[in-house]
Amino acid sequence: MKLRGNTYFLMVIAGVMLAAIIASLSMQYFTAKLLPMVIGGAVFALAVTGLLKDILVRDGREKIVTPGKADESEEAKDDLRGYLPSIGWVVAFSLSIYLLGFLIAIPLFALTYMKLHGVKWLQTIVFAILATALVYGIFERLLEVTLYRGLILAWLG
Amino acid sequence: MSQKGQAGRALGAALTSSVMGGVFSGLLALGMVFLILPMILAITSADMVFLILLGLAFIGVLGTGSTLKGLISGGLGLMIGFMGVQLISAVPRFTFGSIYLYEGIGMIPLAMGLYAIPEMIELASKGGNIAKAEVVIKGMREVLEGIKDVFRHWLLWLRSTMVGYIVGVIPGIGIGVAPFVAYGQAKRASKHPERFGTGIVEGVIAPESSNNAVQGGALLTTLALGIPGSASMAILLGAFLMLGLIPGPKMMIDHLDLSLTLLLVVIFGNVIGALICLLAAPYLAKVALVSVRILVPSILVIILVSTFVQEQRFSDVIIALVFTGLGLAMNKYGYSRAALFLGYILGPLFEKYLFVALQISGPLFFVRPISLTLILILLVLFTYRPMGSLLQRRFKHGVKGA
Repeated sequence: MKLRGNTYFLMVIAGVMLAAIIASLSMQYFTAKLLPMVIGGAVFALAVTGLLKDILVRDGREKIVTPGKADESEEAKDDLRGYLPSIGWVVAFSLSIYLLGFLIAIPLFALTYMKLHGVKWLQTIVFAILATALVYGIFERLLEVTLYRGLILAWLG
Repeated sequence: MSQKGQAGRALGAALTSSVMGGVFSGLLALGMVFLILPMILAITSADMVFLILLGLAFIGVLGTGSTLKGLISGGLGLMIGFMGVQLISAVPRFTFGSIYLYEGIGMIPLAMGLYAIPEMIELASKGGNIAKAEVVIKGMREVLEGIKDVFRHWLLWLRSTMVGYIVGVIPGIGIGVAPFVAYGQAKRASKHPERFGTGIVEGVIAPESSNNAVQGGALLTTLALGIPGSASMAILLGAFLMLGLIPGPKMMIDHLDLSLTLLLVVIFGNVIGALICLLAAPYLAKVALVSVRILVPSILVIILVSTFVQEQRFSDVIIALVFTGLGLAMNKYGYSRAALFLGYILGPLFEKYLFVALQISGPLFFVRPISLTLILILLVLFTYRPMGSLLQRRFKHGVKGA
């Protein structure tokens, strides 16, 4: 039996809520644990209901699936896989901010992202310079916010 | 209408009905403030507990999508809202030993993670441009024709505006539902419902009047009861809380001037917004034609810098990334991100009001006319669907049996 993405999501919710209820039990005062236990319990119950509904309805439907027709869980997987490169870009950008700071990560991200997506060199370079200059001008100069400098620059002092 | 070459007329009708709807609903809300002020004074902490529950129940039961998913989303939001040190007992909850989480999850990283970053990821995955083709506006004469259309269909505009206002007043439903309800009522009331969907101006006036009219009603509920009428109002409520203002009956009494100013902002904001749109719409629309390859990095830079700037902590960026995963999954599997956000904002308030009510009136704090009425509404809300289908089945069996 193949499960749908929603079923996995409900499993995660139920698991997290169970962990939250267990964590609430060890809280010192009744006032602190009351609502997390009640609401966590309710969400856990709802997630389990959804899970059962999902599995039972799926079981019923599986019997009438026509051969050769695209399976729903396969479609869901495809969609998630479609997001992966974009998620990768966001994570890479955040990681580069963490290591190199905003003012180096922004032009670096703009250059690599746009170039690898087929934007012309001139446009890419102009955008990278403009974006960095705008962020620096608005946040560092106008608003006097010190942007994160990154781990590597901090190490180098 | 764009496909029929009447983009200018559609723009004129849309802008005029929007601005008139927004202004009318703002004025209505302004008038209502003085009317409901005596009623607001009667609301206590006990009633607030059930008002918050009602707000969450409304978005779960009446919002778009499945009730189960809506309630799970609201509950998840409440649980996220409980993170951090509880003010009543000073006990840290779900902080995993991290001092950063003692203050709870920040509103900006949560909002960015739930809404902004997932939208960028989806946009980047789709590729291309947001708009498929450029909308050509032939001239101001066409736009003026659209403006006149709204006055020709003034009754439709008034009905749709009222629909928007009422939907806005109901806590937790908001802008997502109002245009559909207004469109539906316009189609039902029309003499030629078959023409809806073929590019007639009534199909533009009805949803556009209602979507701006939502704001006046939603702001009234947010200010008077502290229950956001829409996701945008939840963000506004969060901003108030950050400034130390707690919207609700107390704010209406202590800061009536601020409440009235905000309602005036809705009115003037609509007028200014419409003027900007009218003058700059052809140029602003071109943003939708910019390639996603340029749009995504531009917006992503703004999102991550904004996430960092408020508290100037990189941990906020990490939290935003964590909630991006949740936002993507919720959007993909049809869960309400608005309900989660509403739960997150209302969670700490709900807890505060509950314990205040318990301390003042004991376990029977709900034995009050307003609280009991709200409990009754909650019961009706949760039972009307199953009861309705049960009665329908009984009726069908009865007909077959006969």
